[in-house]
Amino acid sequence: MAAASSSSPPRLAVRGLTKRFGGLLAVNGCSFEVEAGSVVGLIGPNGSGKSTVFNLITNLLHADGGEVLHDGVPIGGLSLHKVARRGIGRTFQEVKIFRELDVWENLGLAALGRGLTDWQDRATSLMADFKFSHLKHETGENLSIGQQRLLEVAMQLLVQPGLLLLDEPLAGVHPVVRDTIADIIRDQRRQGRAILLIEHDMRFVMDLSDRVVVMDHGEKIADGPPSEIRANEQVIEALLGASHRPSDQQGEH
Amino acid sequence: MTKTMRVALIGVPAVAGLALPLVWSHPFVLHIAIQALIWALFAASWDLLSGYTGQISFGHAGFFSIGAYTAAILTKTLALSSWIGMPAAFVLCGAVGLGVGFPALRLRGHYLALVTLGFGEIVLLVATNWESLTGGAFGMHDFGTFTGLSGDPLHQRQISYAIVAGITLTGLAVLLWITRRTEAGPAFRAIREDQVLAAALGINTTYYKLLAFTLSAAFAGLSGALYAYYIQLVSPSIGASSQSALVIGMAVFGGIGTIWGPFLGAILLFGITEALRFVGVVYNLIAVGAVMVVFVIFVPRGLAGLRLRRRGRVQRADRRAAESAASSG
Ligand SMILES: Nc1ncnc2c1ncn2[C@@H]1O[C@H](COP(=O)(O)OP(=O)(O)O)[C@@H](O)[C@H]1O
Ligand SMILES: [Mg+2]
Repeated sequence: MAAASSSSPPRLAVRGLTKRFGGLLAVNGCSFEVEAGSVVGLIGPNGSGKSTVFNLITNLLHADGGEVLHDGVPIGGLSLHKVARRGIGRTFQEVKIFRELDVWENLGLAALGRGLTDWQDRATSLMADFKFSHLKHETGENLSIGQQRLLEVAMQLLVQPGLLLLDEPLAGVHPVVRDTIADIIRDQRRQGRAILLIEHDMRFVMDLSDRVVVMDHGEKIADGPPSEIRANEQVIEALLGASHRPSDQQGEH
Repeated sequence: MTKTMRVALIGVPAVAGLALPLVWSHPFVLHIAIQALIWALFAASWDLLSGYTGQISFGHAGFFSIGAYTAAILTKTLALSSWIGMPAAFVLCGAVGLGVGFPALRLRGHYLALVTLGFGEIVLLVATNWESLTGGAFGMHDFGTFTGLSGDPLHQRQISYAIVAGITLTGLAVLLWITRRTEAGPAFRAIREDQVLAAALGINTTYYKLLAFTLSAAFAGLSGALYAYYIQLVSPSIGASSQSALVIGMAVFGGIGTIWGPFLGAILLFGITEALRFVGVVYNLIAVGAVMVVFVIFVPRGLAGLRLRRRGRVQRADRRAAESAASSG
């Protein structure tokens, strides 16, 4: 784990986070932390509340209980753009890019959101890393799903948020680019950024994460280093159980 | 569609129409050019909010109307010069736009449409019923021209043409500058494309939406003031929803989201309407309506969209649409 700090507060601390949708307790008293310079994997079967946790951290949804601390500061009352401006970046499970604008314009808007003026060189090298330099002036909607996902990730990497939330960054992405994304996540970690990673690809998560948080039915059922999580009976039951239930099969890939 | 053809199709007739009074200073030519310019600024103001920022306003004539009444009241009732009336209309309408923007912040689509439509109707009702201020249904007239002087009508028109051209072209330049040269331009487009993503990237969507409402209303109000000083008659009907519909039609005709498209589109469409008067005042409107329908169907992105076609974007979109039609059918 990272050299960060017993004294300074963690980059992200989630405490007793709770969210209801009508009768459904989508997130139920979840608590965990992400230190600067570490990667935390967030796993669990489909519908266990992972994406909702992202929406609560970024205030896209308002929590019914609990709090979120960023560098020790509660951020529950901040508007969406202020959360981003604090240096919290995210991607969405359903890819979100500006579909009618081209790749370069998308990157430009990511820079604009954080008030970056000197972003062009970095954007150019990110496009090269992700192998879509030739798509610079292609409209978002003309990209493949995988390319759209990469663009979304690139937009976040461009602004280098201190805390990065990635929601299934590999979904629909060509296997060739998988290693590139892994390298980039490692690189970000080395640079002291905190990363919270939702991903169904277990090997990817286990390889990259310093710690793994497991959710099931809105509750945290385990939290520890990958080796421990791999051996945890309850986790295996939750993950395998879900993938063996016929209705959830399409979610496990 | 080449760049040359585009210029030929939009630029040449519109600019030629604008410049016509310079070579042929006929009162009727001046009359049409002046009104076309006023509509052009009005259409460009609508485009800033609705085409560029995606906050569709169905009540923009409300701002135009408030601007016109502000000019009329300041000049007739308070005997102030048009050089105070015009900036006053600009500032007041900006403030009203900001006020309309607040409730509109959380609304999208149909709900936003209803708020803006309702705003237009409220302005119409107030203009009709607040007789002591607005003159009621008959409105206000003869409150003083741009210069406040009267004299040879042709000379008056020439002066009006110079003033209106100067102000509307400056307005166009300012709107183009805001959208092309400041951070507001990309922020507006980001809001139009995806508000949640814009905010998640750190763009202050609240601020930029209010800015778009304020600026758009201010320029609509300014065009209303120009109308008042030129036409010398302000009545509730200038704020009618048909006026709002017409300005939308002009913007769509010219190509929304480009500022210059609606500006030139309005000039062209207004010119066509007036030029067709000889076929009769109802038939010319039907003809213009037909032109607009043809455009909405065959050139959905308006005249300015012909530029996109050249870049190949629309062709790809067309091909995809054709493919999906083929695969589903
Ligand atoms: N906006 C919403 N409104 C209602 N229910 C929702 C909403 N978002 C998520 N849910 C429900 O909350 C549960 C958790 O969803 P989600 O957080 O997306 O799970 P995961 O990301 O772990 O697959 C699911 O049952 C989902 O249907
Ligand atoms: Mg999810």
